[in-house]
Amino acid sequence: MKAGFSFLLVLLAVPALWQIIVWVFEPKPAFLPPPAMVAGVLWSERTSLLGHTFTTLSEAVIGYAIANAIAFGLAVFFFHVRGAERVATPWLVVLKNVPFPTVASILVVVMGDSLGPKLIIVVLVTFFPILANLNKGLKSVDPGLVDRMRTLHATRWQIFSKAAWPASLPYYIAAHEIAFTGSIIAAIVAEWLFAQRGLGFLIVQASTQFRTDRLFAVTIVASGLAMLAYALVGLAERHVLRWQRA
Amino acid sequence: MITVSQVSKHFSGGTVALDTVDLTVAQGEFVSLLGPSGCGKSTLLRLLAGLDTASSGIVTVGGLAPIEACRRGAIGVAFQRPALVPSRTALENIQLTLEIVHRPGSFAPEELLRQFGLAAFRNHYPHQLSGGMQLRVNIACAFVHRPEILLLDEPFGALDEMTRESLTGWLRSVLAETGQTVVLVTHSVEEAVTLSHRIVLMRPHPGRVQSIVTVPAAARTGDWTNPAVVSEVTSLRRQLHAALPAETVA
Repeated sequence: MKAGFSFLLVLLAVPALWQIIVWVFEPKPAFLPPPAMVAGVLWSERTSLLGHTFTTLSEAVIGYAIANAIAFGLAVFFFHVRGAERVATPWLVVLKNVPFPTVASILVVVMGDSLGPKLIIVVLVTFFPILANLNKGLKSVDPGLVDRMRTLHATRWQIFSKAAWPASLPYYIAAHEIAFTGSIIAAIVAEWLFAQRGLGFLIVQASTQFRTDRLFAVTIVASGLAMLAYALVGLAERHVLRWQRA
Repeated sequence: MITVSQVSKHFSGGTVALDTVDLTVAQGEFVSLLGPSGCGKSTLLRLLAGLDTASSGIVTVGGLAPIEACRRGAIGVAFQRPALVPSRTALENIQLTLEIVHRPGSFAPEELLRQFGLAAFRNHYPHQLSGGMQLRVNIACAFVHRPEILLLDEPFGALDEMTRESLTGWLRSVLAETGQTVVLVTHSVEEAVTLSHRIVLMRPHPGRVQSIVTVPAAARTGDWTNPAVVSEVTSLRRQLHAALPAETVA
């Protein structure tokens, strides 16, 4: 309730503050358009904005789902196969530290302006926080509990599903707070680098046309998407980790 | 029946945790392993539980290798720190054992919770339970599949003296009904004397059996009206305290 109230306060305060700045300093609309002007763009271009938003959201969600599947598979593999993490870590570190704009440029050259390069960028950005957190979470399982289960002759799968997986959930959920919101930003950045559709494309277009009002409108939509992603993860957390609040 | 024959355990780095240990525990017997830190008590318990293997010598539990005994669900283990799943309630934690081990004659988890004085807390998560309650749930988890052998590694070690005494009395009454074979690792002379049939005194560096002491039955039944019994038990306590380094004795 308190969090909801604070959120509502921010939603009202930001445009109010924005309007006050416009009244007091009277900046040119090209520098800081008034909130009403941006609201006008949001309304008049709603169909176009919705279409581009859908493109960005699709890339973000698909990329995020792929990243999640790979990270989950790898974390489970590391948990079950002793030494696998040690072998894979140097490769993952190299992959993580390759600057993704460079990767994006290479991908565009190789694959052209298609969905693939954008998904790969989203995967590269969101994959590591999920893998790192899930891996840490699986390792956080109480060794005494694992020993107790071993004395009951539990299988590896039983140890994973009944002890390690529940132990990893707080870490896993925390990873999604970063990764899900990050996937939206990553999709926009990928479109900003190379695309003919999506919010990132709109940003490039609005910049080259000096349409600050449209830039603000896209920023509001993008922020709304990221906040929606955050809220969805929050809902999942409330459901999955309800025992923590008992 | 548990048999430990000429068992040694060496760790990498040259540490000798156990050196040619011999021990036999009869069916239904309660044996305490008492000794200072580093004397190999917990290592010996881990060997009995099939969690480690001996470097040399033979360990059998009910005539089987410990891992085989585990496979048959013949062993229940409770460690000093409650090994509970935080996202499961007390009842669900006890049920976890039965999800892994399917043995005829297992206790009903609800019934066990009632017997352990936790019926009102069946739907409480571990973080909602006191330390003593968590330990009782922990023991119930080791108990519920009705294993022939119960291995307890300082199950009350982290508790204050009063709670510890109360839980020791409670464990004695529970075991009196079930008649399981128990091996208890403890630092506490009081715990060992009031619960055990025999006490195995161990010494460190390397871990060896120093002596094995038989406890008078009256120490467990609490017949303190008999001056002869009181004198015998007091003398036993003195003997054990004298045999252990001062920092060990609780």
